[in-house]
Amino acid sequence: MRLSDVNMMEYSEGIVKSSPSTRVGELISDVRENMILLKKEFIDYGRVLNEQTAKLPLIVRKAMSERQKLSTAPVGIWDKQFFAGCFSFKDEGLTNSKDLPVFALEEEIREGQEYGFGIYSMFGHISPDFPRLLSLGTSGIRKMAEEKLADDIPQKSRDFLTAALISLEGLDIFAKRHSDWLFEKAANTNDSMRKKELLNTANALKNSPLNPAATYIEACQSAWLLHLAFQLTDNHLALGRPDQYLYPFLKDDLAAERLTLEEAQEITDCFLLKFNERAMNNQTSAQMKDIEREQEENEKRWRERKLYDIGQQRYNIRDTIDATNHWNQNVVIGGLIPEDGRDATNILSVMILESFRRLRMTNPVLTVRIHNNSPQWFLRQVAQTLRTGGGLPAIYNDETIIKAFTKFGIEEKDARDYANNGCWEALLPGKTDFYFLKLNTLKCLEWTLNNGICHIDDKQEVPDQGDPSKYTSFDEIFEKTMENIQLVAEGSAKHMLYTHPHRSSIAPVPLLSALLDGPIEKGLDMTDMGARLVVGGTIAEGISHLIDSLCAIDKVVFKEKKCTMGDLVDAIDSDFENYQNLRTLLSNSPKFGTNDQIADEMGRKVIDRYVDIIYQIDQKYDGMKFMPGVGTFSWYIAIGEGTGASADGRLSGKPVASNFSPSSGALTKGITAAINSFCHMGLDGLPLGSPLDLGMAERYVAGEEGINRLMGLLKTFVELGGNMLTISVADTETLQRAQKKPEDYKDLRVRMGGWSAYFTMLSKEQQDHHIKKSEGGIF
Amino acid sequence: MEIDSQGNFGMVFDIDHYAVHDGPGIRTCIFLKGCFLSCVWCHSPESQSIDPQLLFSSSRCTLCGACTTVCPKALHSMDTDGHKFSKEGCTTCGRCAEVCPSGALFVCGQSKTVDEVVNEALEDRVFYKNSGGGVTLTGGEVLYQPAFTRRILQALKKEGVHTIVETSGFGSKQDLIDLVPFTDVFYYDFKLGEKELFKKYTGGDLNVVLENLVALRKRTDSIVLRVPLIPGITDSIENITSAYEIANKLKIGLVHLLPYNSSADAKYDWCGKIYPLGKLNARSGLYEELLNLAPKDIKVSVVT
Repeated sequence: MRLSDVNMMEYSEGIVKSSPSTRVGELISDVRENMILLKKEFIDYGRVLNEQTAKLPLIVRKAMSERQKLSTAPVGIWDKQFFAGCFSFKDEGLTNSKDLPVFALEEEIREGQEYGFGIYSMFGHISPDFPRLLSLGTSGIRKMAEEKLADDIPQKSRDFLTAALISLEGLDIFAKRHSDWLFEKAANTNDSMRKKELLNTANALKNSPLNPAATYIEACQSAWLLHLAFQLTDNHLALGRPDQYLYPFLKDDLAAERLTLEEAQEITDCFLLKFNERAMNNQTSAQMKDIEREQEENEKRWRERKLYDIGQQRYNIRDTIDATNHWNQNVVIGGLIPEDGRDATNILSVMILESFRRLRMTNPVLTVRIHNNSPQWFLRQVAQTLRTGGGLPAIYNDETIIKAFTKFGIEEKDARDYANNGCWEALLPGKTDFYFLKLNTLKCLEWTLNNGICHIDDKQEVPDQGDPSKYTSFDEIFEKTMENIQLVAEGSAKHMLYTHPHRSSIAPVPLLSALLDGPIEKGLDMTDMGARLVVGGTIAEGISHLIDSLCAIDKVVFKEKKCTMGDLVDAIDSDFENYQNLRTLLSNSPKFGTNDQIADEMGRKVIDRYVDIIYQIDQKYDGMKFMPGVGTFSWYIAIGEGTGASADGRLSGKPVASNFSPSSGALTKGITAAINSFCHMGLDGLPLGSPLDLGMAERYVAGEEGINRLMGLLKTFVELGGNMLTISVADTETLQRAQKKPEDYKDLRVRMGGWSAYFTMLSKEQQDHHIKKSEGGIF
Repeated sequence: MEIDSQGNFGMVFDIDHYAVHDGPGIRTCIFLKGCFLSCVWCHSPESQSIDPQLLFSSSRCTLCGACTTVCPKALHSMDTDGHKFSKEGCTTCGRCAEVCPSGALFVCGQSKTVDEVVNEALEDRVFYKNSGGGVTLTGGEVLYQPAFTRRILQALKKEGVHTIVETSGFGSKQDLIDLVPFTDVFYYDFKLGEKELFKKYTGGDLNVVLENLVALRKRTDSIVLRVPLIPGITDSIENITSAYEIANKLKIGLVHLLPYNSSADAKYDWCGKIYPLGKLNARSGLYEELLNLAPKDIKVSVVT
């Protein structure tokens, strides 16, 4: 069939009314029943380190370790699935999650620790070059490496390229083991239909990833196998733009009538289901880790926190406690074609979006790029998918994000190809080595008001800026706070510049480096700064509370003179004990998110300065690209736990607002005011992005009119210059019922900063947080 | 309170952005205070009086006692039974609401100028444009502050904003007709079609409502008849049939049935009033039954 014959409006409209195939329906139940890893047995992956291998360069040993794991990790396929290679094997009670075989010597490990790295240091948050694998195959990439090896190059490069070849061999072995196993299984299968499917998959794996993929199913299988191989070798990576790199294969299959649209949807459903074959709930998560020890280590890390690491949250094990089940598996669809800037949405975008709607799972996280010329049918399908809850897909506005990248010196053509890092930070897939440090901006004000001392544990964190009760103007406070932001941001940048090149001494990533643009070409591992683009991100936390606090100080202390600086400092020091009336006054000051001109101007001033600080740092230092973003991820509780009372009336230790959302209680003027305020923030200065997380009760999205309103909301978000938006649809009553009867709400999902999480798997504390937040209908 | 006959300012008790039940697209709903009727099912009892009112939500009160320290008349007190508020003598000075940290005490009704209201509504104009939305004026009763209503509509129309007016129809005929040039759609209440019952349950005169409807229909065909479905009061077959008959007779092609909203009791509590209706449920099959009764030329929909 010719794709030009498909009426996309009719197709996308029809598909959201359709049901999954029987196979997919059964697989959904199967995955849901078996996703939680209860039993945990490990395969012994064997050893890499011995007297002989110890003499080899570490990077070669790391590659051998990767190859070793891929040569021993269990292989298999779930019943009814098209795709082989699994995180877990439900029948055998096996999981594929044990660490890599040890490859480093004691002294190497000690040396690595000096820079904060270990053999299991993970450099996730990167989106590998899937198109490269699909178009060249490992054989093509190997050829590139071999040609480079034939050149006159330094020993370090030889070692890296040798290692890359070993890793690629590991991937080939992994594919061949699956293929052989599938041929054997097919031979022992009586059901002729299933036999044919198994042979199909076996043949797909026989051809690729060794060679370029030839069909849609081969391309999906290759992409999946690579993703799994990365996960098994401790690289938690994103998926980039599959509706772009898988599309050519789908198009050819449809044109040659190798596939029907229905078959293609079924394959897409099965492909996306693969990302859900593992999950942890609160208990299993706790069982699998020594919470007490981890807590202790985190407390210690927090006590010993350094300036660059000031974003270190107090209880970083929240991810374990909260069971957010994110694995950095993020898929970005829609957007623009890099070469000509035309709309990139295609029939595969529709299929992926539909898979997400019908599967009702949390993985992969789905992100949709929209822009001025996004087709109406696509916006409509996005709105229809949003209504199913879980806060997905996340919405990115190309118009703002691309502009932000170009402001930081990225070519527009490259910027048009942006995806994300697995969480929400935007990056250029396939060519970016990404790392970020967190910057608690609310803390920067806390120091200004407390002689550089943290209120939580009285640690002197930054230099004393003087007696806060003697500050005589608002500008003085603003400038001092910005000085602190500058201090931490520059400290972070220097820390990254200093430590980044040392990653390679203990934690090189030969497999990932082979699948990125840059390392093979330069003969340098990614951890040796080999990627085309090395980005050091700064993510500003607590920003809404900083804006509100500054507004409150300006109004109550300086404009209206309702209290002195001394009163304010005392009130904050005592967590507002005996200062209830002052706290009320401060709380009632202008707030970000209410489309209040004063608050919005303050917010704009804060963001502009923050962007400028990072921009100046980027201009000042070579070797890395420094870029700003704003967010909290799912750690808004933890960030609050390490932050004292704030001048906006927030009590000490209380959660901060998620990402760049208005603080709790600041949605008094509803969702449109929140969007208006947000879009006044100069978001085209933030290439990494800054999600606005909003929620609404089901009644706001009900019916045909509900879809129209959501579409209008999305278009307005684009027109006003928003960058990232998530909309959770949840009813308080539903959440309360789910807390009481979790067994009936297995597919209920809620938004968690960067992720979508199964509500019933969250901790009681997080559940209560979500219930409370949802009261009032708009949140 | 004096009503400004020029309509330069008026009493507003709420502005709801992204309102759901008051017309198409993303809408801002402006709620004007004051109403000539007092329907027993009224779900905004705080809207009936034109005067600002101090409301008290006991469930939000944290018993902090801040209000007791500022009330010039000492109307608030805390004892073992909780927060006591004697309404008698309250001048709605608002000082207690200002210091209340939990929002348990708040003043309902603010005097606003036309510009203030219109500017707030225009903040969302891009949303209206992209969703086919606009502004809905409702109440209370818009005809209670007719000049203010007209001025707001006029200003919005000048800006090209789609406008809907929601009215009980119980007010001055001329005031109603004066709104026609600036109103895209009238949502006109049909509560009860029987004179005695109308009087009993709303306190108003049905003839006025019907005469006004006829007069309005002569000047515009953009009218939707809206029937609140109050169980046991307005949802009888006879009553709905009489609504359909009027619609038929006046060639009004659209009728909205509004399901009963049982969540008003809390608001009665805020006003220190007793909610006269208990927890009522729509009888089963009601909507289907009423939809089936619809004459062929009239499009009836249930607004959920």
